[in-house]
Amino acid sequence: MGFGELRHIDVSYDKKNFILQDLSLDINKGELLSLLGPSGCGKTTTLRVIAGLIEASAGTFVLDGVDMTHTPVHKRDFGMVFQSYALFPHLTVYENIAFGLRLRKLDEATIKKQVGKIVDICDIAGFEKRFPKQLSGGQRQRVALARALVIEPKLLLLDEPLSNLDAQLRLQMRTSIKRIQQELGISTVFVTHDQEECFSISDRVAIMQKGKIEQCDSPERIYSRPATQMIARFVGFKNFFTIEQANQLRIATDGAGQDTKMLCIRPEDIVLGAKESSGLNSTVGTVEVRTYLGKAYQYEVKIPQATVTVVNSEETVFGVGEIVTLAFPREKLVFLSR
Amino acid sequence: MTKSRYLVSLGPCILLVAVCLLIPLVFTILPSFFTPGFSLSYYTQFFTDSFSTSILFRSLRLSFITTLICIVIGLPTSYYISLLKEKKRRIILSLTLFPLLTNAVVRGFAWISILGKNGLINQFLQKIGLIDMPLKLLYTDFAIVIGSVYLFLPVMLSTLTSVMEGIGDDVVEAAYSLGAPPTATFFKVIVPLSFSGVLVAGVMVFAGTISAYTTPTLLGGNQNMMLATLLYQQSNTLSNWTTSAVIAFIMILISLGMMKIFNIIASKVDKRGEGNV
Amino acid sequence: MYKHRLITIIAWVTLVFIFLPLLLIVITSFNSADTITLPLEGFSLQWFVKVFKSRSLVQSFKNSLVLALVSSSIGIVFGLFTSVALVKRPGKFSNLLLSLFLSPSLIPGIVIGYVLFRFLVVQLQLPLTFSLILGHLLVVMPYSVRIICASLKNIDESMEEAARTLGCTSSMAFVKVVLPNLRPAIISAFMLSFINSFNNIPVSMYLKGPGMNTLPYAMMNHIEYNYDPTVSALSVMLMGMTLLFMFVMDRSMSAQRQKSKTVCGE
Repeated sequence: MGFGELRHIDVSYDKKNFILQDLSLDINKGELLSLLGPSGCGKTTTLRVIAGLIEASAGTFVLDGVDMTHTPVHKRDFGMVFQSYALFPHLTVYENIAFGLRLRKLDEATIKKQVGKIVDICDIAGFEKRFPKQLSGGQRQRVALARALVIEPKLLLLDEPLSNLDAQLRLQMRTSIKRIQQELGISTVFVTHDQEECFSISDRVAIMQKGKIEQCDSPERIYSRPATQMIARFVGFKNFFTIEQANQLRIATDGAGQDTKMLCIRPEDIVLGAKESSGLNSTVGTVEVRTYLGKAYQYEVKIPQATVTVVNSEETVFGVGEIVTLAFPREKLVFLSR
Repeated sequence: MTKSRYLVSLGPCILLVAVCLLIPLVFTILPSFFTPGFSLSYYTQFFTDSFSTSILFRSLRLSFITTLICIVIGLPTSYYISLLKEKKRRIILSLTLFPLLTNAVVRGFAWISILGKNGLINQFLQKIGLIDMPLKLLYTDFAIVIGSVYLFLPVMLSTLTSVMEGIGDDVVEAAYSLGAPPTATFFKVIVPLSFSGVLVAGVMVFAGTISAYTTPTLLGGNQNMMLATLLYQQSNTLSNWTTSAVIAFIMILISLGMMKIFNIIASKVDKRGEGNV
Repeated sequence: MYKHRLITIIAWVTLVFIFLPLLLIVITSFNSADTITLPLEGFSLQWFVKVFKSRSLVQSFKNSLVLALVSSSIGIVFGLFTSVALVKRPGKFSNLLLSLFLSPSLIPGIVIGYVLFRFLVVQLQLPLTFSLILGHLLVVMPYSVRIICASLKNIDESMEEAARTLGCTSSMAFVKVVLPNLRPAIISAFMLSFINSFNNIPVSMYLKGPGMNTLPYAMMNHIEYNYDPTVSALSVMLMGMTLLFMFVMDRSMSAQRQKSKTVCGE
């Protein structure tokens, strides 16, 4: 039972092609939930359904016990930050931020106080009299954020707010966003396609593909226990084997469940040893390619039926053509049903 | 391009404008400043004559009203058109521009047949028994305004529609998300961002209305003259060269003055920036 | 997104306001009654016949047609020469010159007509026909200059240079390479010039004379003395002619577009 609940949401324009299909999602109070996925996966559509900019063809959306499924956008009281920031070019920074407050018919003194407070929190003090045209990308982003936050919304919605910024600014801004979100304790839904950004600040991540949620979990759990092959690849797993292949290679498969189709392991978790150290759970192979990564070496090792990628930061360096043993520690194996 | 070629290429046009515009303008208007010594007496005569000043004020007043009406009707209509899907939008836009291809006589005649004593409106009202005597709708200031609005509304619509198409969807959505219902969004976001279009089209409508001849003549007649009607009467019927020159000069001043005011306002507005950010 | 009810209503009322008068003209032109009334007493083409029977209307139509064709064609030539000079040799005077060439569109039409009359006809005693052509040329020239200049600025100069490396003189290069790419601009400039010349009233009004009448003026005269659907019928025919004209021009423009598409290998 979440603070916000999407249940069985369908979004389709012609009953044949579904942009979202039977999608259900919980939003917990005070958390930063991210929607992550490649373009076309439906994450922005989901956000716009929550915002009310798109009407779902089926399903419900309830927030804090109130059914919002058919509430029009301007009555939902959510703060939204758009990818393009969508600042009003004809208004100053102050007026942009005050826009929502003026609509709520607050008196001048209150507006001035609220705007002043949020301007400090979002670090744009001193820019109040400027026009959007005169601001840099990072400054516009902060104004957009301030404008959405000042109305004290029930939900904060961010649509890829950092994708138009350069790398360094992106790092700075995502920390600011996380800090502000925690300080104000505001429930937030954050859409992005950048995995690192997402994992670094989210409390939970919903990974989406083709209109469905593949896994919704904390970043740590997704990282160590991905649910599907797609997600595993996304978080850095290489080396995928079917059960048959695993058995042939003498990899322990006792952790497999009923519907396990594959298993995988990270390059960093495979133990590389010299020819002589072969043992029970190990396989023998030949080094084909060796790449220097700085902190470690990456080896492509050819074993029967496959080539395995191994990253090894140990002192011993193996040469191309050398015969090596690979051990696959049981606890580092991840079993996948999809 | 060689200098000689350059001059030869530009020659014809420069000659055309000089011989057919600049020289005739100076030739016709300069004498109005000399009686024979330099004096503004012809102009003071014009401004002290109540007949002339009433026409001048009528022209300014009706042009202003026409421009205002075009703006007030034009803004919502253009917004509606700019929201239509591509195909429908193109069709409706080209249909609104179609009247521009007919000449002013056709358009004026259409309104004569609607507003006249035996026109369609009076026929209809008399038939359903609402009135006994026909209403005087033609040869009034009202008729001139309707005819002028009819003449220039397409210009306002096409200018505003293209400006509004440039307003991003995201700015409108941002306004909604902040709590602005559609009407408030229209007035607080769409209208301010269309200001440049209003300015450009507004100048065209005002300048066009105040310089027009056919529409005021057909729909206003001699009882409700505008500057152009007066000019024609003075020059063709009465052969008053100097009065005609005075009127011509005043008309030029008003047109060019409007452009100057427009440029000043436009540069002031440009500071705050109107493009999508 | 939202369907603003009030805005939709205002929009449709406005659109009806724009279409209705012209529609009424079309309908009433087929009336068998003697005046403009609704509903129609009967269906009749008598007014269309009357148009053709009116010598003044037919003659003035021919005059306007020829005048428009001549002034537009000359206008295009003027526009071409001027644009080439302005674009190929931009200098500190270019902006000033451009404003000069566009100035006729800023002066009220009736003032242009009046001063032309006073100078060309009264003072210089030039023949009316010649003055009319000059006057119309002055009015349509800005359209050509504006449209062709804008288009020329967008044409890549290196095309001409390539042609010259292949053996063309600079004039040949212009004719073979630049002109074909200017075709859409020339066509739309011609269209705009033609329509504005054909429909022009203020200049034609002053420079008219016995036997040298333009159609709009003849129409105004007719209205003054006869209040009947003759002018409606003529208006319908003019509207049809304009539509046909635009259709033909649009076709030739899209034919040009098709050709350039295949050349570029799309």
